[in-house]
Amino acid sequence: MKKAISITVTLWIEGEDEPAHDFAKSTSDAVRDMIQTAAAKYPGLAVTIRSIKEK
Amino acid sequence: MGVKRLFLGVVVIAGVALLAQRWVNLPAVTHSGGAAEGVGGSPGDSHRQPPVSPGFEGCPPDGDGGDRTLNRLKNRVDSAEWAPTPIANVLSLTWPPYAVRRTREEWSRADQRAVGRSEGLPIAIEGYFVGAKTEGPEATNCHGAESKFRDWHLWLAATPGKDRRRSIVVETTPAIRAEHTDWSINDIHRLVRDSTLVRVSGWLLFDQEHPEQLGKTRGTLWEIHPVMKIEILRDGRWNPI
Repeated sequence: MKKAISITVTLWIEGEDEPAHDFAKSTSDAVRDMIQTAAAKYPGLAVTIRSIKEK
Repeated sequence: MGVKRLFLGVVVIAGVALLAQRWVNLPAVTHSGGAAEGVGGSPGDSHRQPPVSPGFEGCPPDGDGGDRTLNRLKNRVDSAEWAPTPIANVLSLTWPPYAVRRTREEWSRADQRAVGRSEGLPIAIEGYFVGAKTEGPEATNCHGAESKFRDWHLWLAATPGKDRRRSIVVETTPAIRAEHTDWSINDIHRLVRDSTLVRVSGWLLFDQEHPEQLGKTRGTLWEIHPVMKIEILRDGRWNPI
Protein backbone atom coordinates (compact mmCIF):
# COMPACT_ATOMS: atom_id res chain seq x y z
CA MET A 1 0.00 0.00 0.00
CA LYS A 2 1.10 3.56 -0.55
CA LYS A 3 1.90 5.58 2.56
CA ALA A 4 2.87 9.19 3.21
CA ILE A 5 4.22 11.15 6.13
CA SER A 6 5.21 14.72 6.94
CA ILE A 7 8.36 14.92 9.04
CA THR A 8 9.71 17.99 10.81
CA VAL A 9 13.43 17.99 11.55
CA THR A 10 15.14 20.64 13.65
CA LEU A 11 18.82 21.15 12.92
CA TRP A 12 21.39 23.20 14.79
CA ILE A 13 24.09 24.32 12.41
CA GLU A 14 27.36 26.10 13.22
CA GLY A 15 30.02 27.38 10.91
CA GLU A 16 32.30 30.24 9.94
CA ASP A 17 30.81 32.94 7.75
CA GLU A 18 31.37 36.54 6.74
CA PRO A 19 29.34 39.05 8.82
CA ALA A 20 27.09 40.34 6.05
CA HIS A 21 26.69 37.01 4.28
CA ASP A 22 23.24 35.42 4.46
CA PHE A 23 23.92 32.48 6.75
CA ALA A 24 20.31 31.30 6.67
CA LYS A 25 20.34 31.03 2.89
CA SER A 26 23.67 29.25 2.61
CA THR A 27 22.80 26.72 5.31
CA SER A 28 19.33 26.18 3.85
CA ASP A 29 20.88 25.48 0.46
CA ALA A 30 23.33 23.07 2.08
CA VAL A 31 20.57 21.19 3.90
CA ARG A 32 18.51 20.96 0.72
CA ASP A 33 21.52 19.49 -1.06
CA MET A 34 22.16 17.02 1.77
CA ILE A 35 18.59 15.74 1.67
CA GLN A 36 18.43 15.48 -2.11
CA THR A 37 21.77 13.67 -2.25
CA ALA A 38 20.80 11.22 0.47
CA ALA A 39 17.31 10.64 -0.99
CA ALA A 40 18.88 9.10 -4.07
CA LYS A 41 19.97 6.21 -1.88
CA TYR A 42 16.31 5.33 -1.26
CA PRO A 43 14.66 4.95 -4.69
CA GLY A 44 11.53 3.48 -3.11
CA LEU A 45 10.74 6.77 -1.38
CA ALA A 46 9.59 9.86 -3.22
CA VAL A 47 10.92 12.66 -1.05
CA THR A 48 9.76 16.23 -1.58
CA ILE A 49 11.13 19.14 0.42
CA ARG A 50 8.20 21.43 1.12
CA SER A 51 9.93 24.06 3.21
CA ILE A 52 13.23 24.82 4.87
CA LYS A 53 13.23 27.89 7.06
CA GLU A 54 15.02 29.35 10.01
CA LYS A 55 13.32 28.73 13.32
CA MET B 1 32.72 37.26 12.94
CA GLY B 2 33.12 33.95 14.72
CA VAL B 3 31.08 30.84 14.51
CA LYS B 4 27.46 31.32 13.53
CA ARG B 5 24.65 29.04 14.60
CA LEU B 6 21.04 28.75 13.62
CA PHE B 7 18.11 26.42 13.83
CA LEU B 8 16.61 25.23 10.61
CA GLY B 9 13.22 23.60 10.56
CA VAL B 10 13.00 21.15 7.69
CA VAL B 11 9.75 19.68 6.49
CA VAL B 12 10.09 16.65 4.29
CA ILE B 13 7.11 15.05 2.64
CA ALA B 14 7.44 11.46 1.51
CA GLY B 15 4.91 10.14 -0.97
CA VAL B 16 1.60 11.91 -1.27
CA ALA B 17 0.51 14.20 1.51
CA LEU B 18 -1.89 17.07 1.67
CA LEU B 19 -1.07 20.15 3.70
CA ALA B 20 -3.77 22.49 4.83
CA GLN B 21 -2.80 26.10 5.22
CA ARG B 22 -3.77 27.60 8.52
CA TRP B 23 -5.04 31.10 8.66
CA VAL B 24 -3.85 33.09 11.60
CA ASN B 25 -6.66 35.16 12.97
CA LEU B 26 -5.47 38.51 14.21
CA PRO B 27 -7.18 40.25 17.09
CA ALA B 28 -9.46 43.10 16.18
CA VAL B 29 -7.96 46.02 18.06
CA THR B 30 -8.45 49.67 17.40
CA HIS B 31 -5.92 52.42 17.10
CA SER B 32 -6.23 54.61 20.14
CA GLY B 33 -4.63 57.68 18.63
CA GLY B 34 -4.90 59.69 15.48
CA ALA B 35 -2.34 59.87 12.72
CA ALA B 36 -0.72 62.93 14.23
CA GLU B 37 -0.50 61.44 17.70
CA GLY B 38 0.69 57.97 16.87
CA VAL B 39 -0.02 56.17 20.12
CA GLY B 40 -2.77 57.92 22.07
CA GLY B 41 -1.19 60.47 24.35
CA SER B 42 2.27 59.91 22.93
CA PRO B 43 4.40 62.12 20.70
CA GLY B 44 3.56 62.68 17.08
CA ASP B 45 5.54 63.20 13.91
CA SER B 46 7.59 66.04 15.33
CA HIS B 47 9.30 63.51 17.60
CA ARG B 48 10.37 61.22 14.80
CA GLN B 49 13.91 61.19 13.55
CA PRO B 50 15.83 59.18 10.98
CA PRO B 51 17.25 56.05 12.61
CA VAL B 52 20.99 55.95 13.12
CA SER B 53 22.22 52.39 12.62
CA PRO B 54 25.99 52.10 12.32
CA GLY B 55 26.24 48.33 12.74
CA PHE B 56 28.00 46.40 15.45
CA GLU B 57 31.41 44.74 15.44
CA GLY B 58 31.49 43.93 11.75
CA CYS B 59 27.80 43.12 11.47
CA PRO B 60 26.17 45.70 9.16
CA PRO B 61 23.00 47.48 10.35
CA ASP B 62 20.77 45.43 8.06
CA GLY B 63 22.11 42.10 9.35
CA ASP B 64 22.77 39.08 7.15
CA GLY B 65 19.30 38.24 5.87
CA GLY B 66 15.58 38.40 6.50
CA ASP B 67 13.78 41.75 6.43
CA ARG B 68 16.68 44.16 5.97
CA THR B 69 14.61 47.28 6.64
CA LEU B 70 13.30 45.80 9.87
CA ASN B 71 16.85 44.83 10.87
CA ARG B 72 18.02 48.38 10.32
CA LEU B 73 15.30 49.67 12.65
CA LYS B 74 16.12 47.08 15.29
CA ASN B 75 19.79 48.05 15.14
CA ARG B 76 19.29 51.78 15.61
CA VAL B 77 21.31 53.44 18.37
CA ASP B 78 20.10 57.06 18.41
CA SER B 79 18.51 58.50 21.52
CA ALA B 80 15.58 60.86 22.00
CA GLU B 81 13.24 62.33 24.57
CA TRP B 82 11.12 59.36 25.62
CA ALA B 83 7.41 60.17 25.97
CA PRO B 84 5.51 58.44 28.80
CA THR B 85 2.93 56.15 27.20
CA PRO B 86 0.39 53.90 28.94
CA ILE B 87 0.99 50.23 28.23
CA ALA B 88 -2.68 49.87 27.28
CA ASN B 89 -2.18 52.30 24.40
CA VAL B 90 0.49 50.10 22.86
CA LEU B 91 -1.61 46.98 23.41
CA SER B 92 -4.51 48.60 21.59
CA LEU B 93 -2.52 49.48 18.47
CA THR B 94 -3.65 47.65 15.38
CA TRP B 95 -1.79 46.58 12.24
CA PRO B 96 -2.65 45.70 8.64
CA PRO B 97 -3.19 41.92 8.32
CA TYR B 98 -1.34 41.71 4.98
CA ALA B 99 1.84 43.03 6.63
CA VAL B 100 2.14 40.01 8.91
CA ARG B 101 4.94 37.57 8.00
CA ARG B 102 5.81 39.60 4.92
CA THR B 103 8.95 41.68 4.49
CA ARG B 104 8.54 45.41 4.30
CA GLU B 105 9.51 45.34 0.65
CA GLU B 106 6.30 43.39 0.04
CA TRP B 107 4.04 45.80 1.92
CA SER B 108 1.69 48.07 0.06
CA ARG B 109 2.02 51.80 0.52
CA ALA B 110 -1.18 51.80 2.55
CA ASP B 111 0.28 49.18 4.90
CA GLN B 112 3.50 51.16 5.22
CA ARG B 113 1.49 54.27 6.07
CA ALA B 114 -0.64 52.40 8.61
CA VAL B 115 2.37 51.01 10.45
CA GLY B 116 4.30 54.24 10.01
CA ARG B 117 1.71 56.19 12.00
CA SER B 118 3.14 54.72 15.19
CA GLU B 119 6.43 53.08 14.33
CA GLY B 120 9.53 55.03 15.23
CA LEU B 121 8.01 56.94 18.11
CA PRO B 122 10.22 57.35 21.17
CA ILE B 123 8.20 56.06 24.11
CA ALA B 124 8.57 55.11 27.77
CA ILE B 125 6.30 52.50 29.33
CA GLU B 126 5.86 51.65 32.99
CA GLY B 127 5.17 48.06 33.94
CA TYR B 128 6.61 44.86 35.31
CA PHE B 129 8.97 42.42 33.68
CA VAL B 130 7.23 39.04 33.59
CA GLY B 131 9.99 37.13 31.81
CA ALA B 132 13.45 37.43 30.27
CA LYS B 133 15.67 35.29 28.10
CA THR B 134 18.66 35.52 25.79
CA GLU B 135 17.63 34.96 22.19
CA GLY B 136 19.35 32.58 19.78
CA PRO B 137 21.41 33.67 16.78
CA GLU B 138 19.36 35.69 14.29
CA ALA B 139 19.71 37.46 10.97
CA THR B 140 19.44 40.92 12.58
CA ASN B 141 22.70 40.24 14.40
CA CYS B 142 24.40 38.29 11.57
CA HIS B 143 23.69 35.01 13.38
CA GLY B 144 26.53 35.78 15.76
CA ALA B 145 26.99 32.85 18.12
CA GLU B 146 28.56 34.71 21.02
CA SER B 147 26.25 36.09 23.71
CA LYS B 148 27.24 39.66 22.88
CA PHE B 149 25.54 39.22 19.48
CA ARG B 150 22.26 38.03 20.97
CA ASP B 151 19.19 40.11 21.83
CA TRP B 152 17.58 39.88 25.23
CA HIS B 153 13.91 39.13 24.89
CA LEU B 154 12.06 40.77 27.80
CA TRP B 155 8.33 40.73 28.48
CA LEU B 156 6.69 43.79 30.02
CA ALA B 157 3.16 43.67 31.47
CA ALA B 158 0.81 45.93 33.36
CA THR B 159 0.73 43.57 36.31
CA PRO B 160 3.49 41.47 37.89
CA GLY B 161 3.58 37.70 37.63
CA LYS B 162 4.30 35.23 34.87
CA ASP B 163 1.37 35.76 32.54
CA ARG B 164 2.74 36.94 29.19
CA ARG B 165 -0.51 36.76 27.23
CA ARG B 166 -1.06 40.52 27.56
CA SER B 167 2.60 41.49 27.60
CA ILE B 168 4.68 43.65 25.30
CA VAL B 169 7.97 42.29 24.03
CA VAL B 170 10.82 44.73 24.62
CA GLU B 171 14.30 43.83 23.40
CA THR B 172 17.81 44.94 24.20
CA THR B 173 20.24 44.74 21.30
CA PRO B 174 23.99 44.11 21.13
CA ALA B 175 24.92 47.67 20.18
CA ILE B 176 22.89 49.22 22.99
CA ARG B 177 24.08 46.73 25.60
CA ALA B 178 27.65 47.59 24.64
CA GLU B 179 26.82 51.07 25.98
CA HIS B 180 25.31 49.58 29.15
CA THR B 181 27.91 47.09 30.32
CA ASP B 182 26.34 47.19 33.78
CA TRP B 183 23.12 45.54 32.50
CA SER B 184 22.86 41.83 33.26
CA ILE B 185 20.18 39.30 32.43
CA ASN B 186 20.38 38.09 36.04
CA ASP B 187 19.42 41.56 37.22
CA ILE B 188 16.40 41.43 34.92
CA HIS B 189 15.46 38.03 36.33
CA ARG B 190 15.66 39.58 39.79
CA LEU B 191 13.31 42.38 38.73
CA VAL B 192 10.89 39.69 37.51
CA ARG B 193 11.16 37.73 40.74
CA ASP B 194 10.75 40.81 42.97
CA SER B 195 7.85 42.25 40.93
CA THR B 196 9.69 45.56 40.66
CA LEU B 197 7.96 48.39 38.85
CA VAL B 198 10.16 49.48 35.92
CA ARG B 199 10.13 52.12 33.22
CA VAL B 200 11.39 50.98 29.83
CA SER B 201 12.27 53.54 27.17
CA GLY B 202 13.03 52.96 23.53
CA TRP B 203 11.74 52.96 19.99
CA LEU B 204 8.27 51.69 19.11
CA LEU B 205 8.61 49.03 16.40
CA PHE B 206 6.23 46.71 14.58
CA ASP B 207 7.71 43.21 14.32
CA GLN B 208 5.59 41.31 11.82
CA GLU B 209 7.46 38.03 12.20
CA HIS B 210 5.88 36.37 15.25
CA PRO B 211 2.07 36.27 15.00
CA GLU B 212 2.07 32.69 16.31
CA GLN B 213 3.00 34.07 19.75
CA LEU B 214 -0.06 36.31 20.04
CA GLY B 215 -2.24 35.53 23.03
CA LYS B 216 0.40 33.11 24.30
CA THR B 217 3.63 34.93 24.99
CA ARG B 218 2.76 38.41 23.76
CA GLY B 219 -0.30 40.62 23.53
CA THR B 220 0.73 42.55 20.43
CA LEU B 221 3.20 42.58 17.54
CA TRP B 222 4.24 46.07 18.58
CA GLU B 223 7.47 46.15 20.57
CA ILE B 224 9.94 48.49 22.14
CA HIS B 225 12.99 47.60 20.10
CA PRO B 226 15.65 48.54 20.82
CA VAL B 227 15.33 49.25 24.52
CA MET B 228 17.43 52.32 25.24
CA LYS B 229 16.86 52.79 28.95
CA ILE B 230 15.63 50.72 31.91
CA GLU B 231 14.78 52.49 35.15
CA ILE B 232 13.43 51.61 38.57
CA LEU B 233 11.81 53.82 41.18
CA ARG B 234 14.07 54.81 44.06
CA ASP B 235 13.02 57.40 46.63
CA GLY B 236 10.20 58.49 44.37
CA ARG B 237 12.48 59.08 41.37
CA TRP B 238 13.26 57.05 38.29
CA ASN B 239 16.87 55.87 38.24
CA PRO B 240 18.72 53.75 35.66
CA ILE B 241 19.26 50.16 36.76
